[in-house]
Amino acid sequence: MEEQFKELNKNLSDSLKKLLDLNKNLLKDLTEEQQKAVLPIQNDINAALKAAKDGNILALNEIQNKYASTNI
Amino acid sequence: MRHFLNEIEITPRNREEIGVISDFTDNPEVLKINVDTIILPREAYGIVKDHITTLGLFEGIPYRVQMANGISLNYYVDLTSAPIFRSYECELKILRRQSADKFFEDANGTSFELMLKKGVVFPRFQVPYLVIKDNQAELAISLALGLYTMTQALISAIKDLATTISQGVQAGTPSVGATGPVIGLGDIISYVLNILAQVIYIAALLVAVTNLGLQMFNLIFPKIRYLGACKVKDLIEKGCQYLGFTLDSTLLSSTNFTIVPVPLVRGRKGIFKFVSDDLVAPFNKGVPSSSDSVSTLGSLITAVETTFNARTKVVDGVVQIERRDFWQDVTSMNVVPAMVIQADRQDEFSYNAEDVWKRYYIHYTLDSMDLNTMDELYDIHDAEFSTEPVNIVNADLVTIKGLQDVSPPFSLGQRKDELNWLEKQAKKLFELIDEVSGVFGGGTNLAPKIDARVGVMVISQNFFSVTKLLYTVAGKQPANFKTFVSAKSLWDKYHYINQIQLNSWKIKSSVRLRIMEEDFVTLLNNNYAEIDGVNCEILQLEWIDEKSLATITYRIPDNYASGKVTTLTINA
Repeated sequence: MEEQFKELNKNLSDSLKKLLDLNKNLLKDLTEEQQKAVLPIQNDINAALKAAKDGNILALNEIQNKYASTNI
Repeated sequence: MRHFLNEIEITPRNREEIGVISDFTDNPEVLKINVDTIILPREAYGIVKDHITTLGLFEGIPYRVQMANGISLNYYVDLTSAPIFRSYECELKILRRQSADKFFEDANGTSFELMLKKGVVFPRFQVPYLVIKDNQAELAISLALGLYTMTQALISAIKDLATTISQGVQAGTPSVGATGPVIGLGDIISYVLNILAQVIYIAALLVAVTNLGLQMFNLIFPKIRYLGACKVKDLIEKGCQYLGFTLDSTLLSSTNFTIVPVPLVRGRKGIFKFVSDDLVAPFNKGVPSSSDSVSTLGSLITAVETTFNARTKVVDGVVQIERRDFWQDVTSMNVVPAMVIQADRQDEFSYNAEDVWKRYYIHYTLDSMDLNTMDELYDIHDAEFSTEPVNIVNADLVTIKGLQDVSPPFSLGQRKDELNWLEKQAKKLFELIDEVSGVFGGGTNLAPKIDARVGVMVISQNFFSVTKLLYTVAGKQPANFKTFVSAKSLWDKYHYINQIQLNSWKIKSSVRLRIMEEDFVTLLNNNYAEIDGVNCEILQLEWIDEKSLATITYRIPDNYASGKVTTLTINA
């Protein structure tokens, strides 16, 4: 089971990296106007990554609530 | 002999009966007078009355016996010990000052808690320990469930991530408009929000998994805690100093035997009210309390004598605790004049048959509150031997009998030699948690903490009920601690000399002899003397200078048991 778990964890790690790379590439192709529009969300993605690194579940919850309250 | 009461020379009415005895058996009494009561008439009686008037009954009166060569025996009159007062005289008991009598009376009434209260500073130190309960299988189930939950969460997260990535490819694909290919802003915002939602989800999931891992770690593997402890030698040395004596013991100085008192002290945190992580302060005082098997200095010394086959001598304020035969080994032989057998006596002797035993059983106390004492420690907690005759003609006439029961009032402490099966399993799990928590960078570092647990003491729950005897170096028991504390090692190092093959003697009792005063003085510090060319042990020496009479009881090494019996090891 440990081996399976390790493989899953590697899979998760790779997928997450792929997602973040995709995000990074996507931003490069956007116009200035479009970049301006997604900038606040990008900031929150970075904040969520930092909160995850710090193990700060409250900060994650705060970011999540921000979007829940605006019904996006 | 001259007698002084409070440094005033007096003449006791029973002066001519008073002699000097040195008794070296059991709890040796070196130099005491042969009566324990003195009858004081006239002016001495007046001194006693004055003392009672001014200081009362509860302080003794100094009493000194001065021998012809200037040696003084210091006593005190104990006014609380059945004094008898008559019209013209009083009959009082006297006890040695700074002697074994006095020392043990004081030591038996002096608890370590009293000494702490009086400001005695003991060189205490901390012994790291872990609580490892006997519910390892249940914990293993918890670990398995934890692993299963984490696996499920990972599978779910990966699945969601895959969906999000495929949606991202779609969102990033430009549509063809009037001005050429464009990427829709709405799709982009929607997709970036999706990424954010995924990041938050995975982050929250991993943080939760990490927290679960940390909580499991703390619950299943509580942090290393500490119990106060003190070396046996330091406890006794400080106790002796407190009573005005000094300790001189090669037996205790050369070893690291350590007492870990029971964790039953007032004012501790309740284990039912606090999570185990909060219970970091030592549960005990580091010196024996009233709940310990050796709560007083006297009881600790008695326990040391039992455990290490030792005897205690108190000479001129110096407390010597050594293996029973120590004085034979270290003292130079002293020559005393040959005995003069009186014309009306025949030479007679007996054997030390009372020292013969059939079964010799050394056993530490088992502590039902610390299951380790009944687990692996059980194998080393006792040692049993039997004296067997070599040749038997009539089996029913074999007279080897008796039990020597050596029962140190301590239990042993287990050392954590290696990780157990659960810890090895858990180590793998925590390595996984360390990996998972490191997906975003950083992360936990739980797995190496499990390895750090090796070498500390292990108990099966927070409380135990029997004082522990450890052998510690820098607070921990070394890997070879069993070679110091096991019952077999006690036999090999201290008790084997009690085999009758090595302990056979002829005893000659109440033998009259001429002895010069200087020879008598020489024997005070060494009760081994060469008699007729053989190194003999003096058991008792009585000398009354008023009558020029001396008698000794002594024993001569013999080999009557050699080749006749063997020692069979039953358990060790």
